[in-house]
Amino acid sequence: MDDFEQFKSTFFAECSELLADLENDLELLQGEFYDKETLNSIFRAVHSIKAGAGAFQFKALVKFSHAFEALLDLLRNDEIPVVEAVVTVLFHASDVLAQMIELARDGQEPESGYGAETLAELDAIRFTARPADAAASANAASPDAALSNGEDAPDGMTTFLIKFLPRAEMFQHANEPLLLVREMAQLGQLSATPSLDRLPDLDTIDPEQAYLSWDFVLKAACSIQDVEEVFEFVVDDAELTIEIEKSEAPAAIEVTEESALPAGVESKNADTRSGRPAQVSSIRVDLDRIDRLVNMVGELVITQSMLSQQTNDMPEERFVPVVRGLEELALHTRELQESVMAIRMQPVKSVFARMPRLVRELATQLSKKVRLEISGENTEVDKTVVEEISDPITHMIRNSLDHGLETPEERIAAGKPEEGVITLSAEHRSGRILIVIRDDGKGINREVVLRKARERGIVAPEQNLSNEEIDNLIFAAGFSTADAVTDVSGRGVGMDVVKRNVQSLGGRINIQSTPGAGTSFTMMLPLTLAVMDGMIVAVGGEKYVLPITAIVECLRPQREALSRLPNGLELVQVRGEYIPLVYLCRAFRLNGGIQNPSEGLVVLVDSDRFGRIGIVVDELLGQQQVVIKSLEANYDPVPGLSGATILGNGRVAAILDVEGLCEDSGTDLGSAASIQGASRAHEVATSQNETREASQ
Amino acid sequence: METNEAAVSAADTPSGIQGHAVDLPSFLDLGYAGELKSALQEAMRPGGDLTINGAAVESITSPCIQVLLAAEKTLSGYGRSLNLIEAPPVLTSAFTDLGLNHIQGWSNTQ
Repeated sequence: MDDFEQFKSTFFAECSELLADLENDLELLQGEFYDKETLNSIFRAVHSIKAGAGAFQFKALVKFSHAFEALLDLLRNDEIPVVEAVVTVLFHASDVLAQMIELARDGQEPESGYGAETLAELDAIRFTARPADAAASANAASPDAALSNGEDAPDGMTTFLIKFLPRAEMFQHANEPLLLVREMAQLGQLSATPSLDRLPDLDTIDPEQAYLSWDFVLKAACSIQDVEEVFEFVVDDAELTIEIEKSEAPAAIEVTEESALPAGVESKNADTRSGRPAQVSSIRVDLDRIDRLVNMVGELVITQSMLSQQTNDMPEERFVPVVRGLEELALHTRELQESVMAIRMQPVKSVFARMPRLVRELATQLSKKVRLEISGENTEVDKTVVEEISDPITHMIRNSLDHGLETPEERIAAGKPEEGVITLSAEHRSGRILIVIRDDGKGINREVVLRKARERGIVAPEQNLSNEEIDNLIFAAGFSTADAVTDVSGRGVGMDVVKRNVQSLGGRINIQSTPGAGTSFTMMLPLTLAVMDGMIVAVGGEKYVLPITAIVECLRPQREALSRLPNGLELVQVRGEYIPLVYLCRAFRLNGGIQNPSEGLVVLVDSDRFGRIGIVVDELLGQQQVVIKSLEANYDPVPGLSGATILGNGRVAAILDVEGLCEDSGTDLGSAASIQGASRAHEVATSQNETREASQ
Repeated sequence: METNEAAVSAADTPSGIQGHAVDLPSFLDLGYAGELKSALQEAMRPGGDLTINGAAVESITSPCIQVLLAAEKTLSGYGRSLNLIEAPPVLTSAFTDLGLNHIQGWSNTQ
């Protein structure tokens, strides 16, 4: 990728962040707790997008962001009050801006007239407050006007005289005069007179130093602040003077750090506004590089583990320095791994920030009054996890709004405040991230849920379910209680997908509902997808890794607790519950595996489709954090396995996929319902047998 | 294989004086300015006019523009000239946007 493309790519990455901030700040404008800085922050976001767009010649984007920014300028200077109608237009403008950026990223031009309606809305508000601007705008050169050679400007324009003398080191700070000139040309008619006085001959030129300087004459219908903003990132790299030619013009303005600040911007933002290069606290790093680093550290962890295992039997007293060195290596490797994983950690804020808008729009659509309360948005999680949680959270919030919260009338009738509350929170707990979505709505109507589930054949007619089991039916594939398919919900493809996505990430989701008081969804996810806490189990001389998160408990059952159904399905009775068994040795056709669970061990795991399952293994070897290696990337997908890892002895161990294992175990487990039905039938039969025996 | 290196070769310049030609690469950014200087120095060493072929240029920034201007300055000091052939719009607009209309003079010598 050449430098230009690299800059462009960085610009789009920054745009994503700026749009997220913009959205967040616009939400604040809706409440009562915004301040001047919120407006300044919105202005800065739009301005930065405009500046970048100008540099890359995205003319439609420049034109639109210019109008957007002009209105924001009036808002932050209290010339226009922040009222709901204005904020709504700002939201529309934010949408158009985001769409234009997306098109620019894809190398496409917006269709003719795209965003014109919103542009007109922006201008209408601005011109109401400043009628003079309307006339100036009508006369102004189009922002996408070509560079001119200084023909006479139309009346009503201001002529700016700009002296621009770059310092020698300007190029080394990644500042490019060509981009500045082109950005300035977006404002109006520009005439450039270069000076080559400082240019040496070819033999003495230092190619990395700047030698040229310019006198510019800009005729434009803009303020001096607009011109200053073009140069805001180079004020430390150049001598710059901007004058207004008119006789009533104020004295020449030397653009210093302070004067470069537009009105209302507090000094704490001076570093950003002036482009001062000091105090760099972060850098952008390509994700591929970080992934390579994470992979290499993973390899290092494996090598360290191998070294450690191979030297376990070494007589410690004879090799004290070696043993100490290995101990330190283990410590440092662990710290290194944690540090590297921390690089990929990002706050969930980027996902949470999208939700207020979703809630607002859905609430309007459903005629409900809702307040979204967010907490813990700075909780950090691996980037891959951040990318994956957006859909589940969106689905759950939609569900809470559509099914959970009542209409204002229903709430008042139920003695509740008219406005419902949805709480979205995140926190770290036990090395995982806990995300909770809670509403104070009517809770799950279990009667309706059960009836619908029976109608759809998800639950057998004779089957009795606990409240918890009924609540969990909303995660069943194809389940929906909505009578009509709407844009919000009712297709029955929401919550089952949520559960599957969460489980594919190694997480779990729970639901708790109290009739009349509300429902809460609790999502527990791993902090990273690169390493995992696993239980190493041995079967027939082979080792496998079971994800700790899937394990409920391990036990060695008594022979009496084992039984077999007529269809061959083996069950283990645990505290009165019958649980189907899956033999790992049979699933993977291993010779020598223990065939009698009472001689080996049963690991109870939770499966989505099959409920609780007992996996029969020979023995447990211990818990270990393992580096996950993709089977798809390194070999081929294998049913029943989700990945692989390398153990301390250098051997590859497969990571079990509980769901896939149950599907391909060769045992006819059937659906969760049939297992439960079978278990209950067996329970009833056993109970009858016991009763019969007792009565005899 | 496509490279981002200037090719220097002997050529008959439009003015008829034996000189050397430099084929500019696609991307003329800050990182390339040093190489461009060396390529131009090498091409200018034998004497005569210098011909630059800009056909392949896809982007150019100020550091390389300065080097080209310095080359022209040096050449004109010796009564020699710089001739530009095949200048795509991206190259000419970079010069003219900066007010550097020299490029028109270079092209006019064809």
